Amino acid sequence: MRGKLESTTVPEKNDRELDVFAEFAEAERDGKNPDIEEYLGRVPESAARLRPSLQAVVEVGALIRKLEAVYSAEELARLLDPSRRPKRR
Amino acid sequence: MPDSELVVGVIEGRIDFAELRRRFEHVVFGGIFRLVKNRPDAEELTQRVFVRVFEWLGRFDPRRASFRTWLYEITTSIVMDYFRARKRAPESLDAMAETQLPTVAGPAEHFEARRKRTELARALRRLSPIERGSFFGFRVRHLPWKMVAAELGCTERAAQYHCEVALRKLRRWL
Repeated sequence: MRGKLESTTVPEKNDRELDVFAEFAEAERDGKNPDIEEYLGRVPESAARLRPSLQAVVEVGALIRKLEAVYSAEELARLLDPSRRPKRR
Repeated sequence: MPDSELVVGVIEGRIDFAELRRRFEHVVFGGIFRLVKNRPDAEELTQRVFVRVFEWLGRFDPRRASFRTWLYEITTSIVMDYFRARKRAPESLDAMAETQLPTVAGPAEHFEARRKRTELARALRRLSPIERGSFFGFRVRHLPWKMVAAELGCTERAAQYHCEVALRKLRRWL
């Protein structure tokens, strides 16, 4: 598994786009309510490609935030832990 | 007396279980009643919740969750069993969320949160391991990109790329 992950390449989005995405995602995660248009303005040539990614950050982030309002961070991480097996019925 | 002191007192046998029930009964009953819309059933389910709390109190671990969270997990589980037995869902979870308690999330909110959490967990399982790991490390565990990459054994750039892919997929699926 590890070797496979290390060999992963990064196609599709270029470095500049990923920089903007990563910075936007951090701002959203840290509760700074970042403005999509402002971030897209940094890469106007890629705005159409990047917009769905930033919208995904906001929408999925809103879901996580709702869960964080009910569960503590540790509890949420434990409950969503990918290594945790689903219950059998 | 704070909840934690009360719970520890009950576990250690210094405080009667009835004290604990008195403190939380109205919250549990209110939340259940909003879900089942039926007083006799709500009373019966409330009784079941406190029987289970009594039986399981020794398993409660305050390091993992607050008592209220633990109590609501039990309540949610019992209410879900109730609906499963009747093969129907509550009519409007959104409507219930509007009547939430002012200070803490009640059973209705936990029920809704549990539903969303289950959907999210299911969607996470559909992601590839590196997509899941990137998203989980970054957004759920709040790790910096560098640490996400280190855990996955990839570059920061790869972690960001796979997190981006994961987010777009999750947005589509949820």
